[in-house]
Amino acid sequence: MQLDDQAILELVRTNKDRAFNYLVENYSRMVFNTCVQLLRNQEDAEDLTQEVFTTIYLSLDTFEGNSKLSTWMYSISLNKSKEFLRSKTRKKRFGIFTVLEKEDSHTVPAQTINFDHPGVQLENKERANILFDAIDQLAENQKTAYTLHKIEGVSYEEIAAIMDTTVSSVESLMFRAKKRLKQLLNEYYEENEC
Amino acid sequence: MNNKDSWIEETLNTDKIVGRVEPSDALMKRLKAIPSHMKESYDLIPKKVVWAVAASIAILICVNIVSYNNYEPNEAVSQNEPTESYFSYLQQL
Repeated sequence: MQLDDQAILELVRTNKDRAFNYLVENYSRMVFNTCVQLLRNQEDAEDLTQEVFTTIYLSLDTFEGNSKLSTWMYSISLNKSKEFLRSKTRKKRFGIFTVLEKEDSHTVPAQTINFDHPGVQLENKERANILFDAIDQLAENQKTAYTLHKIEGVSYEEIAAIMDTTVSSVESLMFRAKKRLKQLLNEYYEENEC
Repeated sequence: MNNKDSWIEETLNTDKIVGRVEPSDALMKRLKAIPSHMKESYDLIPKKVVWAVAASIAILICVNIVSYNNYEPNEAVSQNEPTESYFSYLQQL
């Protein structure tokens, strides 16, 4: 049975655990796919999905329904992903000290390069990796807007609400992202003569 | 459209390349267990203990306020005491 946002909020008031279970059943795919797309690491995406749903469970009571539930959940996923990537970059920046400290240990860092996206078929893996590498070179806002629209299929209006900006800004971000991607793919094509 | 342009266009057509991924059963189990985990962590500190600590702090604050209010006049007396006793000692001499 499909419930609308109002019915879910009603369910939160009467039975929070049941409402949460409904959200897990119906929105975990959306959250997980967003995390996979933004983090490019399945294990990290699973951990982050759990973190996102923990935040959702803790703040369900305070959600007033000013925006769509999916928008709210996308915003949490996006913020958590950004936090995660920032902390990972910080760790990499100070990685030299970690390496010096753990010189004798044989820990292998989490791999994001050449990540096998679980949603990409084998014959498309090479081309998908070229595209993902190009997307990774976009500015953060362009990457977010492009990923949400092209890969997650989110509308410009909802992206504007998620990113707390206007629809025209999203249009501009998408235009610049496509232009830059074409430029990057063009460079790749000329270097490798596909 | 030449080969390069069509290759770029095809690569940009991501919706055909990237499919939706289903979360694993293990992940679904982890997600569904969140409410019970949250309750367990709440149970680590029982409500009775929280109330007892809050009450103790409130009592401590009250006792401090009362003792502070009672302390001021005594302090005034105690400040005069050494001078008075000194003069009375001189008078005795």
